[in-house]
Amino acid sequence: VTDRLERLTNLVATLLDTRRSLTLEEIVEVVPGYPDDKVSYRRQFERDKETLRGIGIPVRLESLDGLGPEQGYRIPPEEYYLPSLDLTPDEQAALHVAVTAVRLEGGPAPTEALWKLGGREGEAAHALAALPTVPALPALFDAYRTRSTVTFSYRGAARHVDPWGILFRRGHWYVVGHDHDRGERRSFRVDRIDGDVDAGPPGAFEPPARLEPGAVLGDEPWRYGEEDVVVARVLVDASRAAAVIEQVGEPAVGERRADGSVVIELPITNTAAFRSFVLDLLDAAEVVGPPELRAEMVAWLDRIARGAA
Amino acid sequence: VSPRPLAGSRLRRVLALVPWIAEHPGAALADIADRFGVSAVELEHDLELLPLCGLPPYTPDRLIEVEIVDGHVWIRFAEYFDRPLRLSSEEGLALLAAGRALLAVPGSDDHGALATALEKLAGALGATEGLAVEVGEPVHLDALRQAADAHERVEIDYYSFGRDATTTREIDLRSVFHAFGHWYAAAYCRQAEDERLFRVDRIRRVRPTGDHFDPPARDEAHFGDTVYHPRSDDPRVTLELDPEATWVVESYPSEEAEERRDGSWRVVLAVSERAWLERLLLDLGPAARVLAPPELRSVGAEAANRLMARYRQ
Repeated sequence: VTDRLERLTNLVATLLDTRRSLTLEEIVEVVPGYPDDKVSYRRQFERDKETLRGIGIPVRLESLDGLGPEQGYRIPPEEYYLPSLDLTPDEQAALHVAVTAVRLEGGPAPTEALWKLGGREGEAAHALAALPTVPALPALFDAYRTRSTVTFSYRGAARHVDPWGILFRRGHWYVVGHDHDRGERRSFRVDRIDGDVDAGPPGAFEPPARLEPGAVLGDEPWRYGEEDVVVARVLVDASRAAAVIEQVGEPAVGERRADGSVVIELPITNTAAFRSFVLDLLDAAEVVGPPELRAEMVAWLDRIARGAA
Repeated sequence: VSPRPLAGSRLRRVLALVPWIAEHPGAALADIADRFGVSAVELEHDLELLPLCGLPPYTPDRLIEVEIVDGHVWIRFAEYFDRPLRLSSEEGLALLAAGRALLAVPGSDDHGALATALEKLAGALGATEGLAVEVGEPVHLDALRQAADAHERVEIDYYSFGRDATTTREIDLRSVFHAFGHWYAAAYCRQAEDERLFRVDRIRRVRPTGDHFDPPARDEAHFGDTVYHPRSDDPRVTLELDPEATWVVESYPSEEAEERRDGSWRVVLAVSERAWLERLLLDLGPAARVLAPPELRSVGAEAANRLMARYRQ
């Protein structure tokens, strides 16, 4: 009896080496270890094919002559092989340090990626950082790499976006790009995407040259939205003034008062994010203007106050 | 019938081993085992398998040749395996993100081996500019990392977000790490006489004390434990969340999280400080309700009333 690993290794070699795709019958004929019975060898091959695809091997089903209905399998070499990276031992060691120092929570263990890059070089590092992963992230990364327009559901609406780049900031992943529906550049929090990301054909767009995703996103959550710009004025007590100025920057300070408190001025396009920012300061902050924004905050607090009464 | 996972993961190893050995003729078995993290026996099994593999019609000239002499190995006639399998999206993303994150840590060498390795990797993945990782650079990060490495006791002024108050403490730093988008310092606090976790961006000042401390035996699991597992004696709160507040489930370690058919959630979270819960409830507004315990049911309303007092003046 042929060992399954042996059969799989032979199957990969055969499908990689062949110039034209091979029919199922041809495959079970030449690769040792398949049963004679049609139902059994079909089932066996299906399982093997799923195993290969499961570890990322591109087993393609193609028309035998490019035209006719008869189909066969092969592994296109250009899709299989890792391009030569020519990493020096120092560079391999640096990547080894990186994947042991920084863990992607919920992502694949780095072991197998390192195998492909030539195994572990040098020493592992102590854990230094953990980044979260979110389900939609690999699909978006792929679409960015292949320049495919993606479709996904975000805040209850379908969006069509050219993903120019992906950014991790303050604990969240964002995708930035051109939003076809709005006709503008936009950013989206990846963990707030509902369901699957569907990618269109590759090569659909070209991102702007020298794009920095961080610059597209901007630095402040209250600017991530799509509302008309309102300049909010927030009074921050002395106890939190220094920390808030460190966060929003000195130019945002509109007024310094004798008791050490400050009034900061923020242009906002996302009221909900602005509200979170102010409420995080609890008793140490107050929206002082414009009146509509102040009234909105009072209404919000009032709802909460009455909600649980 | 699902494929046995064992064959898949061994196959991955074989497909990576063969190109490497072919490229390094005469490599020592012990080095290979070490490099690929396998035992000598496992490696032997993998190598025993290969001479049975090759291309149809599996005549001797079509089979992979493995030669082992005095603990060194040569592989020939495996041209179709002369390169490893490309990286999957997940693997490419994980490598690149980890590397970019480490490069973003203050004090990293922008032109060192990691930077050049990432350039090559990003080029091969077609992802040169579009994946950026920011880890932030709080003012006192460097001072704290140095103090941790040198086992120097420091005094800090710390703004406790949970309690909305600033205190001064002497601490012995255990580790400094980044998680959930923030830098944390895990330390023994001499005032609390216990291990504490401090957000580095809330440390307002760091002063050396001139004293050193004896570091405890290094505990690898330390950082994960401190960040992800709330203290067992913290009170628990049960929240009902509308679908738009699902991010709470993803952002905080919950002890129980149950999604209902209508997309709403019932979650149990640990509450270390009342102010933390106040902020969460104020932020969520009508999208969240406290189900239990009874004494926490009015936390949101009380906080909202208190804040509204400012607006009534």
